[in-house]
Formats: sequence, structure tokens, C-alpha cells
Amino acid sequence: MSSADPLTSSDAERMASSTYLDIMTSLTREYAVANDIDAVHITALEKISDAMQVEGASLFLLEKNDTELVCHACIGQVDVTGMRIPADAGIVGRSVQNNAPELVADVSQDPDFYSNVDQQSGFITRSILSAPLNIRDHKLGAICVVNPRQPDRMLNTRDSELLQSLASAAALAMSNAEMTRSLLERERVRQELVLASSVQKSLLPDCASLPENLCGLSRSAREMSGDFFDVVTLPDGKQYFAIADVSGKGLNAALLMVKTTSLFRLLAKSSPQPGKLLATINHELCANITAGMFVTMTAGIYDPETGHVCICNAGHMPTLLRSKSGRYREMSAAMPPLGIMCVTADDRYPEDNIPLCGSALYLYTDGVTEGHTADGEELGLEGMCAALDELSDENLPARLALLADRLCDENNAMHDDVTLLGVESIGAAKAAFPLSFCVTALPDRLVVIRDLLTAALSESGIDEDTRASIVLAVDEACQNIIRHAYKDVTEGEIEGHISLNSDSEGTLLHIALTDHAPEVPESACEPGERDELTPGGLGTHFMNDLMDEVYFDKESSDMQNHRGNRLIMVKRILHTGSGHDLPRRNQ
Amino acid sequence: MTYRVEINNGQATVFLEGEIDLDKSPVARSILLSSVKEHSCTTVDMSGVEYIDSSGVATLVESLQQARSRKVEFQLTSVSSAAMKVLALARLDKVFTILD
Repeated sequence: MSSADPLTSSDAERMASSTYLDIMTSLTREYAVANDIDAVHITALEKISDAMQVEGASLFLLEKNDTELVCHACIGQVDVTGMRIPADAGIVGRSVQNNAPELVADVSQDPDFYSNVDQQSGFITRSILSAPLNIRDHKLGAICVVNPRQPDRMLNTRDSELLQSLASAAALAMSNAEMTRSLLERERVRQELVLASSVQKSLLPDCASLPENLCGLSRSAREMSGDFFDVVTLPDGKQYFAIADVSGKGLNAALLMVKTTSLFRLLAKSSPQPGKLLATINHELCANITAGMFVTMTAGIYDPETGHVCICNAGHMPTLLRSKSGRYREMSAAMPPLGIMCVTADDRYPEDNIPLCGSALYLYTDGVTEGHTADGEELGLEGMCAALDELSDENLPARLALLADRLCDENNAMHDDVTLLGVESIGAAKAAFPLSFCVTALPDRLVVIRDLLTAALSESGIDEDTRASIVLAVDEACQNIIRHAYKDVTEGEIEGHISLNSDSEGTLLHIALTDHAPEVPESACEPGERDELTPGGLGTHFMNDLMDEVYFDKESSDMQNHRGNRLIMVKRILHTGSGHDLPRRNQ
Repeated sequence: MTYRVEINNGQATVFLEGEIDLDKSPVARSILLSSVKEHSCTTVDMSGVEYIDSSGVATLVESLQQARSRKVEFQLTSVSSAAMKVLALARLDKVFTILD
């Protein structure tokens, strides 16, 4: 220390130490309670500047992945706030990069001195001292002071030690302040998510108010969910229901879910056809959906009066049908998810309209089948069916809740949102015949038709061989519609109406299968030459061999203006003991 | 429909179970044709077949044709009564080699 240094006496040193300790304490306090961090930066620089008796001080912080130093605060004759310099430029950059104070008593002797500011402002920097700001090895920037106020004094190593001490205290205070701000922000976002989550949950129906035959549940793995289900009972007693899964997770998915829910609720009151409802929602979503987002959704109506359920599936998980006998059938989606492909609002998606007659429908999101159970294994479709079997004695709400309970891993954590909806028939069993149905023209619907027909024939006392013959003939006729009539059409429906009428001779089974495909020639139901080893072409032989009459109805009044075909098959079933699976004609 | 394949001395036994209809016959077709391609003898155990339609029968016919052109054996065994009735209806019960 030079003899000219004014802080050479022990009294002066004690006073200085006391001042610096006061500054450190005040920096810590002010940064901790700071609302306006830039104002605190200025206050800090003013205190440092006064304590060190310098003309100016500035605070530079690293930005842009530590490639730039930006002046965040500055006091003195020249304001360089906002100035950006490369992270390794000038004396400030050097102290940041070396992570050590840089003292330049006479800047004219230092080639790294960044003289642009002096040149532009007319200020003359004589002496400069820069001390790095860092927390452990993490560099934040630097505090820089220039020119002692006493013209004859130069900045010295003692100034350097003091500034480094103040810079260390300031770095810690800034870091703590930043951490506090970040925690507060996180807490604010969390509270907003909790609020949003409660708003979202309020959109789900109250399970206690749902009819016992139609209920659902939705459990989210995080605050916000992209799943939803809804149930709306219409004034005529019909029950509208829907389940959906929005692509992605988080807030975006939740907002799209809210929009889809609102559309469903609005349209359910005016659109009694699920196929029409989904086409309209698709139209609305396509108009302004964020690219890459979509909604998979199944909507349906259960009519307690007829016992029929009508569903439409747009890209959602297959609908699971559990028959009265406990067999499971999957009905896959007929259409792509909503929000991907624009169609006109007038379009109607194909539907499946079948009598429930003692069976149950389960609709679910992929979080159910892909969810993990306590043993760490994925539940899977088989696991879901097995669980539903085990829980078959429970009522529907309890069954769904107990199934969802199984979807927690060994740490009791859920990995994905879980949403389930179940529909069961209510009221007295309806007569087996007439049997009416309408299914989407897809191969996996054939087994649904076979199940419906087998159950109805069985209930009507038709013997097993005759049942098998009738079921095979109807299956073959429906196959022909799917494979041939609809071969150039992307989607379509098959309507079936099957009646059973008894007279003195026996029973006459009348089967009408209607499609909306381009007209097929009359010869399509006539068997061709039978070649023993030609794959295909057997179906028409089977129909003709097994039924008494097979023909296309072109005459009925409703077929006059109908686009499509109606195949009629008639089977006469003799009274007990004479049911035959062999043909009466064409043998 | 479910299936299982057992290989013994280069000979395959394909166990088909459940319902072989338009929806499931493509799976059966793929299994049977690859078995015919890879083994000197393919035996289809049909004891578990509850239902078979014309598309399932066509799959068996196509596999038999492939076997003949490759000069390998293709036979059916333990055919369930439900499946046998359909084979008879198709008049194919005499075309296939059917073991008890």
C-alpha cells in the first residue's frame, strides 16, 4: 500500500470494514425483498461507488448462453445501460473469463481497454477495476468501477480486494433473489394449474348424479388432463354419452378438451345422431385447431325404450362389447380422429346401432390398457377384460372405480390419464325378434352380428345346427357387402332387419340386409360354377345352399328411390326336430 | 382367433382356435402360408375352431394349393364338428387330407 493511500491508519481501515459489512448486509436484504431488481442494482452500485469513492460503476451480466455481457445498471457521468459486448471483450470480459479481478491502474497501458464508450461520450477513463460475479463455478457477470473521485489517486490492489468482497456478496444476494423469484413463479403457476384443474374437473359429470346403467370416471396423472367423458340425459329419456382423448398432454391438450366438451354439450341437445355430432365437431375443430393436435372420440346414445345403443367412433380406442355370456368383442374406429381431415358439416360419420340386450359396452382411453398395475406390468386389453370379469358382480360404478384403482404402480403412481365409461342395458329384456341393427361395414363387425343373431335364435328355441346355418348365411351375405358392394367406398353401413313369423307349418325367418353402396347386379347373389379348388366365391354358394330363398329386393317402395341394395334371404324352419342345416333347394 | 405353432423334426403343427372369419382369416393365411413355405409338412389342428366362414375355408384351400406346388404335405387334424360342417358344405371334406 502506498504512503499516499488515505486508508492507511487502523481507524480508517476499521471504518472502511464497517462500511463494507454494512453494504454487504444491505445488499443481501434489498435483493431478498426486491420487486424491481433493476432499481436494486442501481442502489447497490451507488453504495459501492460511494464506499469506494469512484466516479462510476456498472453491472454487466452474461446473456445468450454466456456469449454476451450486457450492462444491466450503471451510475456515473455516462450511462451505458443496455450496452452489449462480447463475453470476452475488454477488461470486464477478461475478468469474467479469468474469474478473477482485473485492476488496470492506467487504461492507456492496456490493449484490451474497450475505448468505444470514451470516444462516443467524451468521458475519460483513467483507471478501471472489474470484479467477477460468480456462485461457485457458475459465472454471472462482473461489477466494474472507474476512476477514483480523487484525481490524483489510482485504483489499487486494496480496492480490488474490497470490490471482490462486495461482488461476492452481491452475486450471492442476486442468486438468492433469482431463486426466490423462480420459486414464487413456480408456485404461482402451480396455483394456476390447481385452479385450472378444478375448473376442468368441474366440467366432468358428477358421478353420483349419473344413471346407474351409464357412468364413467376420469382420473388424471397430472393437474391437467387431455381426457374427458360426458353424459347428457335428453328430455325424451335417451342417454347421450361421449369419451375422448386429446393428443398431447398439459395445458394445450386441456384447453382443446374444454372446447370439445363444450361442443359436445351444445350439439348433444340438437343432434340426435352421434355420427352427425362427431362430423360437426370435426368441422368445428378443423377450422382452427393447432397443427399436430387432434381428438379421438366416441359418442353414442342409449335408448332405454328400445334397448338400442348407437355409437360412432372417430379414431378412438375400439369399443369393447361384453356379451351376456361374457365374451368380449372389439369394434374398431370407422373414422380418423377429429381435427385432422376437413369434411363438410353436412357429413355424417357411419354408426353402429345395435340392441344391447344384456350386454355391456366399455369405452376407455389408452391410459387404461397402457396403464401399469402394482406388479409393474402393463394392464393390456386382456388384463382389462380379466379385471372386468373378476368385478362382474359389482355394480357398474363400483366396477369402473375398482378397475381404475388397479392402474397404479408399486409406488401408487399413475403414468397416464385414465378415463372409463360403461353402458349397460336397463329395463325388461326385449323380444329377440324382430332383430334390427346397423353396423359400420368393417370386418370386425361380423362377429357382433353373429353374436346378436345367435343369441336371438337361441332365445327363440331354434336348434343349434339350424342356428349355425343361418348365422353362416348372414355372415356370408354381410361379407359380400363389405368385400364387393363397398369395395370402392371408404365407409358405409349395413342395416339388418330380421323377423321370425310362425304359422301352422313352422317358422319363417325373413332376413333383409340393406346397404348404401352402388347397385350390384341381380346375378351377384346367384352361385357361379363350383370349382372345388378356387379360393373365394364360396360365400354365395353357402347362402344359396343354406337358405330357401336368396334375392335382391328391387320392388319395395322404400327401395325405389334408395341408393343401395337390399338382399333378402328366407329360411323356413320346420317344427321341433326337423330343423335342418342342409338346403331345401339347390342341393 | 388365437394360434400356436409347434415344430417337431421339421414338421409344423399349427393350432388354430376360435373364430376364423373375414376379420381374422388374414392372420391365419399369413401363418399357414409361411408354414407351408418353411416346412415339409404342415398339419392344422382345428379342434379349437368354433367358427369358420368362406374366407377361412379359402385360406385353407390356398394353403393346400401352395403345398401342392411346393410338393410338401398339408393336412388337417381333429377338425371340430362346426368346421367340418362348413368344409362339407363347401364339398372340400374329401379334398383335404383330414386326420382324426
